[in-house]
Amino acid sequence: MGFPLNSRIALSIASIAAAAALIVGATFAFFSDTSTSEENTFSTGSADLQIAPDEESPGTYANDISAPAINETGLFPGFEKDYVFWLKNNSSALIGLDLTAEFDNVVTIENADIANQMTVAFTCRTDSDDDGTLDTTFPTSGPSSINAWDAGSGVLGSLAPDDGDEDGSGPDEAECTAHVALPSSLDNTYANSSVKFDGVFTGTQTP
Amino acid sequence: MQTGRVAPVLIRFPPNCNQDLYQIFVKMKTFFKFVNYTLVTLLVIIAAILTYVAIPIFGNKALIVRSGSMEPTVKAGDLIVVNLAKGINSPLPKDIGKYKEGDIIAFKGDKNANVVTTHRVVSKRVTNSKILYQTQGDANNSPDTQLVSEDLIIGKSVLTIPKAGELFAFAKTKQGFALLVLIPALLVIGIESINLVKEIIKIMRARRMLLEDPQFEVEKGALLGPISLRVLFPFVLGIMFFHNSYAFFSDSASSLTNTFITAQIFSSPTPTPTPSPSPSPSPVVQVRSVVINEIMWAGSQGNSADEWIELRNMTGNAIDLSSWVVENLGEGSGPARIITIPLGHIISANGLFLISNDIESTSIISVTPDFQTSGVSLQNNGEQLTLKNNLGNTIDIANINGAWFFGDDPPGQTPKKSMERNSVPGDGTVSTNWHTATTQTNIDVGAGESATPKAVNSAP
Repeated sequence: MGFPLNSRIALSIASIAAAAALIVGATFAFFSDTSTSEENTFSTGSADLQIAPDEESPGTYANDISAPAINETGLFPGFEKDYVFWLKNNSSALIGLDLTAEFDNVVTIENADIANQMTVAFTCRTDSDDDGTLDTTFPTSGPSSINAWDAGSGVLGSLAPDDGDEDGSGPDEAECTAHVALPSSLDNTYANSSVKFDGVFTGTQTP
Repeated sequence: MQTGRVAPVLIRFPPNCNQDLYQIFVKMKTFFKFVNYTLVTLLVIIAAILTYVAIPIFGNKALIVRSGSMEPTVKAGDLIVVNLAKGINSPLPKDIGKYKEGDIIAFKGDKNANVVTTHRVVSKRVTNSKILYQTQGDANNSPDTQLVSEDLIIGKSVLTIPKAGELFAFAKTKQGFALLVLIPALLVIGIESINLVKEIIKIMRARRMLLEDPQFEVEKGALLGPISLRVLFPFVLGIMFFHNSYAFFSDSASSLTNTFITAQIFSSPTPTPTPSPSPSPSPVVQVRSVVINEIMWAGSQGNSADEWIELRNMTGNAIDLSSWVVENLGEGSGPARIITIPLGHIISANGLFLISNDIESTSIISVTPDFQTSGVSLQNNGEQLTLKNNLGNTIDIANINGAWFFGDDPPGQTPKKSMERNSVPGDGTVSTNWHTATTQTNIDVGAGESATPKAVNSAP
């Protein structure tokens, strides 16, 4: 008969050594892993970004401002005007949203270069401390031409998770201004031209 | 004789024991041995699978899905295994990409490589000989705004293990790490240390007993270590190699069919001295054919409502102002504050047209307004006025959406000053085309206001 006790001791020592190595390795991995988090969060539900057209304060939010959102005629060289609208994070998921803007379905009549000449800049403000005052202004995106907005998107800022109200207060809503301008140097070849486009504002879950 | 390694205690049956009981014992022993081997085999298989999916050397990467925009295909809390891009044998030629529409891919952020997104390829395009993928979450109503280049793609999803991500995500929290790794590992160390001491004592005792009885059989103690370590193994692997992935939610809101139309002709109006005796409305829209020429936004000393604006005809023809509007001039707030000029009002060639809140007798102006309406109301903190003709065409814009460029509203009983357009009007939204009135014309005697209603503006 053999005497197994020595191999069992060896097994115990190996187990202790392996467990210690696991602790050391796992601890190192745990603290060096940037994705390790205090909160074990999983986002479920859905994202919902809404828009309202009012100037003074947001009115009724909707998924879209139906056509035509803006119908401006008689523009002249040097034309400049601000158009104010509101964006709101209405997501059922408890998530923040990073906002971007881009244009879609750009159509021109007469001088197609009007879409290169007309510029739009977006500036959004939000009430970060929920005291009813728009106290945080995100960096202006643009000015860029209509065609540039069609080719790529620009960053507008971010919205916090929905706070349950629609009164313009709180970091879940933002007042955005689109500053539209035409160069004063335009000649008559740009007269009687038009440009039509959809403004598409996208909220993507904040990482 | 040596019995099963994991049998906790060796039970000895005397030769005259109950045979039925002995048979039951033998069957139970066989059963537990089977269960034990099954469990060990299962753990080994799980460990092998986890090793295969977790360690990148095998071409795979396991990702814990943290958000649910890929539902119902991939839910928040699932663990997905992606096969590294180099391992994909796509049926498509290489020049149109390794991935095809419909594939679920995991990719790194172009700004932050630590943020991994898992979304579905909905389309692809070639730009500058570079293949770019348009991705979208199944539960999102619009594609992602950023296109994904192949160098950012980690791989294509080949396996989804429901709910497994939640367990490993818990292991990656401080509480989970302590509960699933630290405490069990310390337990193993503790138990094995006790076993070690016991075994050493046994050795010493056995040596003594063997000297007395060579047939002595050694009892075996519990050995939890190796099994516990196998259970620990997946969690340690999970912590070390499983990373988070996000199926980011997104949603779009649109402002549809925004339309901007330029004027039919762009004019550079130059006043001409030749008057026209009868109104003849211009058949074409001429921007700045009529301009907002003077704005008395501050009211007068002692009468803050004594406000008015003056229009100037820049053409040599009389123009019918019927149904023309001035936006933001009316009472209240918002874009609905519109003053509409009633039918029958004409501005003479190169003439001036005064719209006033007060009549002459209650105002400091000493001329009769062309159109008096008690609705004239201007914000002292500034606003933009827009003049539109009866067709809705914008003819002129004054000021910006902000403070008044010029004019003066000193506190107390001090005369006010109007904001006047330069003699060559220029773009009314540019401040250099305006100035503060410095002279007084058509103002009641004794009033100190600087303003020129229905008279040529002060220089320039």
